[in-house]
Amino acid sequence: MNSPADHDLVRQFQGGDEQAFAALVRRHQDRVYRLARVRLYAAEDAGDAAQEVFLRAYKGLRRFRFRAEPFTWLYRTLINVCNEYNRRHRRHRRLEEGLAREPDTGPATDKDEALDDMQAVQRLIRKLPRRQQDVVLLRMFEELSVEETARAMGCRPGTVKAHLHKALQNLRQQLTQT
Amino acid sequence: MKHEDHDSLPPDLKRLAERYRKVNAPPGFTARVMGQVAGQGRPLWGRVPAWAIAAAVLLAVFVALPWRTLPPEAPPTASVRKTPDKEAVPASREERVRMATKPETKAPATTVADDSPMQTRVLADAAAWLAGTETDGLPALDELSEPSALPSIMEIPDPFS
Repeated sequence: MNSPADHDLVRQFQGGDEQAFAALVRRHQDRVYRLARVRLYAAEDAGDAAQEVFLRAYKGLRRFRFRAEPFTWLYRTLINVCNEYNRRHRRHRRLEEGLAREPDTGPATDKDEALDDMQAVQRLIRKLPRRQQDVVLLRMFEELSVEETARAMGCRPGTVKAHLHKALQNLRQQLTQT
Repeated sequence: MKHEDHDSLPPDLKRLAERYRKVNAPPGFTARVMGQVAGQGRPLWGRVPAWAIAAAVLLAVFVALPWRTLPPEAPPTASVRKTPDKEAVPASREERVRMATKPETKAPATTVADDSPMQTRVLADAAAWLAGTETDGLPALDELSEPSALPSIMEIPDPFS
């Protein structure tokens, strides 16, 4: 049995079905959380930021007019929330960067490895322009299709392909330099 | 990646992307979100317990009731405002000039006149007493200094006999 599409879930939610919203959260929570961890400089805020995204979605999706994908709405809300968090925790961000430069002397755990991976992704995309960052994260790391990426970014599929091509060139250059 | 540019990814990036996708939201995330949004869509009266609303209404009625009445014997404490005397401000200009130029009349003295018979007598008695001469049965000062000079109680004439 196919799971209902995002639009159907939003329609059910607008009709008063709270469980439809819960299903929407379950469907997108991992993606939103991962993107928040990469977008935020303070990794421990990712859970709160992702939660904030869904809290805003709870209010905002009631007025959703189905002109775009619900994930587009979630992704743009996520970008706004992460920007707010980064502005709010600028001092904390500097501290976080300082700690990240220090060599890790403790035993490696799964959590540390995940943190390292996220920081590696952060370092990788930080040198890219903003649109190329979006394309790399959504298309390469989140495995969205070109069309889905285009909808999330609010542009044409051709634009996504062009950004992706340039981003890959930049990433290859980075990897050969390191 | 499962799309057309999958093979173009460098192996390092491919491994990094696979590890990236293994990171998931913390357990209980959905329940936490749903707990946060619970009640946000309901109106206020749906979120406040019925007993709290009833208690608030009762309290409001109790406070609004006129149970604190003044005692019947207590007079109303309305402040009496003094109205200015109409005669103090003459209506016409001539009258105002006349009032301004009129010599002030002093209030009549309330002291006892110097020549009142009572005051004359009191002053005379005091002077005589101070001078040492007995008046009206009072002993003289020099006699007061000697206790023996005081009349005994038996010598005091009975005023009723």
